[in-house]
Amino acid sequence: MTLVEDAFRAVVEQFKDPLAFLRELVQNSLDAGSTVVDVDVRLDGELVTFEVRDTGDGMDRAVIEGKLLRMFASDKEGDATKIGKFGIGFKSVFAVRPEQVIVDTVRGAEAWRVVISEQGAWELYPLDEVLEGTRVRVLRREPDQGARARLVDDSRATVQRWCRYADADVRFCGASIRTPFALDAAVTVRVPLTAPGDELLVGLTAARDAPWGFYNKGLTLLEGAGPFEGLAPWVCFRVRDGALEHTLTRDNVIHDDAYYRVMALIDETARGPLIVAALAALEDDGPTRDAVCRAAALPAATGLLHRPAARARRPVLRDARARPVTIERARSATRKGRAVRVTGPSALAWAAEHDGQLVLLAPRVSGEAALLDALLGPGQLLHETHVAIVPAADKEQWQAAPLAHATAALLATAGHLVDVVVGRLDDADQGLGDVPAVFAADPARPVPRSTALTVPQTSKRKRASLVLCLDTPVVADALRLAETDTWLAACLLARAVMACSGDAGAEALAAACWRKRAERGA
Amino acid sequence: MTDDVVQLAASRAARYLARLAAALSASRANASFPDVRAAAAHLRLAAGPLAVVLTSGLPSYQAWARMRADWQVAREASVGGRARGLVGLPAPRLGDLGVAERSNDRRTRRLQVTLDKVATDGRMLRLLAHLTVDRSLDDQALLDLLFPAADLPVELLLVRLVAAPGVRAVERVNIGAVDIFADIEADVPPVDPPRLALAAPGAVALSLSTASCALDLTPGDNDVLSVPATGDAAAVRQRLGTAALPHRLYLDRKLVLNAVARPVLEQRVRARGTRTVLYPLEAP
Repeated sequence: MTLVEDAFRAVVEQFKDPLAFLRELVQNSLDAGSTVVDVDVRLDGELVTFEVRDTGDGMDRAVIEGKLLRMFASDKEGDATKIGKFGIGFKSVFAVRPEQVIVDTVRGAEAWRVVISEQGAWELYPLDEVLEGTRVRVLRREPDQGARARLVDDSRATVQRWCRYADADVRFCGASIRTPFALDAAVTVRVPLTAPGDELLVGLTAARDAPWGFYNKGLTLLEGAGPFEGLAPWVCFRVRDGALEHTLTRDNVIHDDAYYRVMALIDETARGPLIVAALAALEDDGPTRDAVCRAAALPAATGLLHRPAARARRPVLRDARARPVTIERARSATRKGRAVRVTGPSALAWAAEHDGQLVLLAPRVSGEAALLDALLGPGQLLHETHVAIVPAADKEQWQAAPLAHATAALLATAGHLVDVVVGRLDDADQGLGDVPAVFAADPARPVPRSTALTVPQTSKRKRASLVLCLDTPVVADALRLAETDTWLAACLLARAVMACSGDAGAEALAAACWRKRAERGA
Repeated sequence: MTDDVVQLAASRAARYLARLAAALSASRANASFPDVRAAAAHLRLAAGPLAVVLTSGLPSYQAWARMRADWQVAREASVGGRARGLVGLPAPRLGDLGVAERSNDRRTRRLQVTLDKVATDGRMLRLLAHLTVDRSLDDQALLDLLFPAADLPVELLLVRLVAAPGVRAVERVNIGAVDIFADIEADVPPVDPPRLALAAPGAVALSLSTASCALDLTPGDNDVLSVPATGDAAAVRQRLGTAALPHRLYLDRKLVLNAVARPVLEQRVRARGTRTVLYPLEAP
């Protein structure tokens, strides 16, 4: 074996997948200008025949003898319109250890059959057959039935992996494996490159295993998943560029000027047009909004969504009524402490809105919430810190009026000057449980949970409200009792309210009530 | 140049278009030809009456221009099923240049140039040339040079390119053409000899020819329907292979045939002794 042959064998054996020769043959077909490439694997007893047919330019004798059969010789070297350049493509068929390789090819008025043995000896015959392009048949003997079946499945997987985006219609056993060149991302930007058909797709994604890939004429050069070194973690991409080349051993892309130019373009697109496209997608309430928000949260955390200032003026957020809100307004309101977040439309949201706050929509565990966290910093949902009072209907207010008056009078004797009203708590979390009443400085505004049960300091000038919570057992019982004994009902209710708020005067108030009643009775 | 054009009414046009699209799809035309799959997709989505050129049996330039206009409208205002189908297709190419740089140095560029064109006689052409040109010859200048010459016989095109200012070398010139569609049932009367050969009821045939002049080519004529060159083309053929014009000429033709047309052409192939690729066409 010569040094060149030795080196060649070493390179071929470096291919991780011996069936990768199928990709190499498809690559040759594309370089020959074929628009249809048929790949077949046929089983005949122990014989496995791999066949790749194309309708490309074919080869004449000069190419067969000078390039095809010579180690490391390629007529594509120096031609940027071709993918293969090292003269390895065809020779990789030997990685599968074939018994025989038969190449039939037609170019111009020449038609040839080349028969190559396992040892690499070859013979050339004129071909007397109507044929177009080139047909390569690789014959391998495989005694193991299971291994034969696996060869078919593995061949299909190999062709699919490397050729699914190919410019030509690549068919495996008659079925096209062509897949549209696309990215599975929340937002995708398509950038046409200089050469016709070449393009770059850059996507915005929140997935940790988002795909990336380099392709030449749609043939896979290198693919992977997850963050790509040197790019932001929220970027995924696919690029097809005739200037990109794979290494001799096909396990990487050559890091040359073309590669660095592409990488710079991806980075530039990810920070510019992709962000602009994401902002546009957020402005439109499409069905993928949640995914877009989730993905946009990552660049938002780096300031890319609100810098430069024009981006901050895009109305990409939503308030509780699903109306658009600019990033600028949300950030400004947050700085002033006038922005709150709610999970959806609710009395609490309307109460906050009534209070003049910017009420931002942030459904729990949603992309929207993640985006707000990234843009405005982490924030609590309003209902975690506040409750809202839903006023009772007029009829309910009227029915409860005697009890409310009596309760207010009793509490006044204990020094608590409160207006007693009835209503309900908008408390989705039920954090306050079945408390019979809450204190509120202004029942129309959100009531902080921290002060809802605390008896406030009051005076004639500064009165507070006590909201009796309808539908709670204590208030319901009190209302029923009030129908026969309003004073007793008010007494019990006042004691319960004070007890709930931890007021030590509850029992004293109750005792005073009983005394007063006894005196009246006497 | 004027060609006789026949207007097919909508119902007849629909049947004609379906057959032509099926014939284009049945061929395995390589990159030497216009994109036949895209063309077939456009034909399948075409609607209304259609102008067909009698000499080629193919849709006229105006018919393709209308399809291109439909495509543009669909892209700008996507409205429905047909428009959605059009948007996914590349534009019909009526005179579009593609330039790929094979290599370059400080003064020259080695180019692979493709020009797709619909000729006035309805032929769908792809001119493919490997040229070395001065850097001063830009893409517009190439288009100006190639567009009017793309209808010429390949020998004359070669001479024109070799003599063109700014062109340093011509390695290869190839014209791939979808040039005849014979659909006897469509009532498009066959007026030229190749189509007369197919004048049997129910015959459908599509011809795809290539004419190549290249430095690294074994010359030959594998065109089952070829006719002897005349005039200037014949004079240039005499000079091919000489020191002044070392290129070789190769002619080829493939045919898509339905079962009715096949025996007629097989007889011709035997008589001419060509190795002609015949693609079968199932009735659409």
